[in-house]
Amino acid sequence: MKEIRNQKSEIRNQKLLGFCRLVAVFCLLFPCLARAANFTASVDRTEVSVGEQIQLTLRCEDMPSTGQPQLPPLDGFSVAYSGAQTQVSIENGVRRDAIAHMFALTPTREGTLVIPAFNLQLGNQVLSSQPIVIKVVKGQIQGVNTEDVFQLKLSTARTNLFLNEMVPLDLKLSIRNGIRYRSQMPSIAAAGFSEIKLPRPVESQEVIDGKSFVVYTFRTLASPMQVGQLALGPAQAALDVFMDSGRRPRLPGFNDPFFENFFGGGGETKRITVTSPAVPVRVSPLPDAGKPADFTGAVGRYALDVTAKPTTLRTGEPVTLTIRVVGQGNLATLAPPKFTPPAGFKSYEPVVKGKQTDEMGYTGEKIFEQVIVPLSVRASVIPPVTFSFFEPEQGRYQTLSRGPIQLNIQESPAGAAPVVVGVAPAGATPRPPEKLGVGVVYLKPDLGAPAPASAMLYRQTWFLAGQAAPVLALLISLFAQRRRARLRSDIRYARKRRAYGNAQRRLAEAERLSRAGQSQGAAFYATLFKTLQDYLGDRLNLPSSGITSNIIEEQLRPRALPPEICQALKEVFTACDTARFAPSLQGKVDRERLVKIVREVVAAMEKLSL
Amino acid sequence: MRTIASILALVLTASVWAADAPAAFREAAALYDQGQFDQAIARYESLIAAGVRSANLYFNLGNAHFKAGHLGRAILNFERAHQLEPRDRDVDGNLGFVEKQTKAYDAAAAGGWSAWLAGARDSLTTDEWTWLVVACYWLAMLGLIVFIWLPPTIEWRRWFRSAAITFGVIVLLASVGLGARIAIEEGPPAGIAVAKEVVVRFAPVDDGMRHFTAYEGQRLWIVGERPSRMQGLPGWLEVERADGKRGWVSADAVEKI
Repeated sequence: MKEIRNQKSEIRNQKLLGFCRLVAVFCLLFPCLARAANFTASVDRTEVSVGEQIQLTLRCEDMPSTGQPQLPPLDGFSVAYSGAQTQVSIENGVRRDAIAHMFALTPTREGTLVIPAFNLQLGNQVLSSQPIVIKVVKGQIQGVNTEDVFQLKLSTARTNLFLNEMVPLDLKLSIRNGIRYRSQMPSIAAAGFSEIKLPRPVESQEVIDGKSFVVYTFRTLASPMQVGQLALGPAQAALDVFMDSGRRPRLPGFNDPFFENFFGGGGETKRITVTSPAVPVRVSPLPDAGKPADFTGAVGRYALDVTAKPTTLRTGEPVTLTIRVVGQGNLATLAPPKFTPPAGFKSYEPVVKGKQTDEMGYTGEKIFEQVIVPLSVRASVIPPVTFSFFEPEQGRYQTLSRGPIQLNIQESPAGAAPVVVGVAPAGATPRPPEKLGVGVVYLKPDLGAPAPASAMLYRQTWFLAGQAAPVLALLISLFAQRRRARLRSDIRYARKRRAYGNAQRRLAEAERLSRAGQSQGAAFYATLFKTLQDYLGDRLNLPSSGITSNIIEEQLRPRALPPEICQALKEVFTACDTARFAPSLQGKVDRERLVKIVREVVAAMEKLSL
Repeated sequence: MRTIASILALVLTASVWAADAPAAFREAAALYDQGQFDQAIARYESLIAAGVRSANLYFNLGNAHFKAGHLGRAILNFERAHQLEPRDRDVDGNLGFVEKQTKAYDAAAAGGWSAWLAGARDSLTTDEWTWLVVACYWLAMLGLIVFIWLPPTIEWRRWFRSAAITFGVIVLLASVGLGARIAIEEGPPAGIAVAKEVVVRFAPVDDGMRHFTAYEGQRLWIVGERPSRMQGLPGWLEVERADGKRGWVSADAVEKI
């Protein structure tokens, strides 16, 4: 800050500070607020190379809100407004509002450039920012010469122009091969010219000074709208260049695949603006001397062709006059050549029937059609059609004339009303085949059903998963049917399947009886015995009624039923037999234990493959 | 989360649909009637940009493009309408009519078996083919399950077997159609040449060697893409012609259907 203040007096003497008295004036009708308003200017860095952008921030604190400030032209910089940021903060309980207006400044030449002090009028008070000195290095970005890598050239075929003349412009953006970049569309400053639209460029490869470049050539047109000394350009192109960690653009030989992920990897991007010098142009008005009466503003080089069809006709029939203008110039706005048919013709307004020009509407042809109708046989000559234009290269007006065209006209016969003389007998003359017209069907009256917004059904997981349900149902059905069929046909299998369930039900009943007390003793033993009989009968596919304790030795032991289970089973059979046939001999028996033994027997037998 | 986003998008689309879309649609039709085809196109396209999509919208936009002399874009929009409403005869009629006006029209390719098969394949949308396959599949399975459960003694049990077999055959046939549609959906997207003459080059550069020329309205398959390195400019598309020839075109010369 101190250094800057010391330079102030020197700066004021510099020519470029002539404009710095004025500046961004924010319309302020409000009195100063209680808090002190503050206005500062700052840049993100003070040393840049030509074409490299810096950001200028104008910060206004505790001021009423304003719109976008307009900066005066800054010598050595091109200026673009980037936007504004608002900030609200509370300091010691006091609210502070700030708005920062940001500008992208691009130095266009090397040297020590100064961003002058800006004054801001706030009611009666004038706030000033401090001037900022920027050191601009010639064409270098961290050691890499920008001019060796990027070039932008603007050229025009002619520099002495006439008002409304269309002049071709060439803008060439050359970028050294191997640089990884992404470019914005260039722009051309052209005050006093019609808007310059840049078409799609032609991309080509060129060798410049022994180095290989990719060249984008924009071919466009400029048309001066005012006379005097004007300038075409400067043109500017902003490029985001990928820099490696050493902040050098990657040059050929650094093994970068050219087309792969731009700006991927560990580097960073750097915004570089390439500027071309302006082309001075002198614009003269169209001369009044020699201006034809039918001149309607066409400037360029043209040829004229006129045809009429048909040339043999009857009165009252139309003749189509086709007027074709071919050449170079402002074809897009070209008015139809003047043609006024003489008396004896009825005429209609000319219409543009076709236009075939290049993308910019500069070279090509424009076709007008005018329908005229001869009303009498005396109107047998179409007079000449004339077209006047200004030829800028020769600097003079020219008038083209085509015609006259001779017509062969006959009087139209007096028409008689058709008379119906009879009705043709049915089937006498076949009806001629109907000729249907062809064309597009007319518009739909309403929007109709909206198109589905969701993804297609076959891509939706829930939908695909849902299709497993019928297969599942089918498998279950098949399994159930097979089981049912086997239960019907395979007695052994059916008995085996029901054995366990029946045993469990009977054991539950036996348990209930065991808890019922002594009175239910007979019923308990009968149930328990029946359980064993049925279970073993079902499992072994034997008649249940024939099952006794002998089964243990005859069937179970040979089938590897564990001996302790056999012993326990024998005990149960004995207890049941005693209770059934000699109850008086039976001592105190733990009935619940008997039930438990049977359960264990059933469980053990379930594990056996019988 | 995705479901919520989808529902939200649907609601928003529906609200746009409900609010301004019909009025804007009628306004565009009025511009068309007045012969202001470019303005009508702009109005229809603003609706599409707002998220409104329907076969009728694309149909009318195709008509406006046709009247404005943009045959390629007319075909493009009729194709889009056809994808949404494949059995709309107006769409088919206009599409066929406009195709015949283009240099790209190949009368030989428009007939024959392959065209008939393609017509059969495109007579239903992919979702409609899916529903057809799924519905027949469920019916076939239902018939089979009922057949299994019914006792063999019931006389009409065999009708369920016949129904299951019939629906099963339909499933097989419809699956061919569905497979063909899915192959299109999952394959390279089709595009339409919208410029009068599209020079297809061997390399994605303006001075690349010319391979062949595609004409306005011609169908090309987009098999690759290269973005532009200049913002605001179209990139390049690698396209394939019906005969398998490939090349690069400017991305603004061909538009995906």
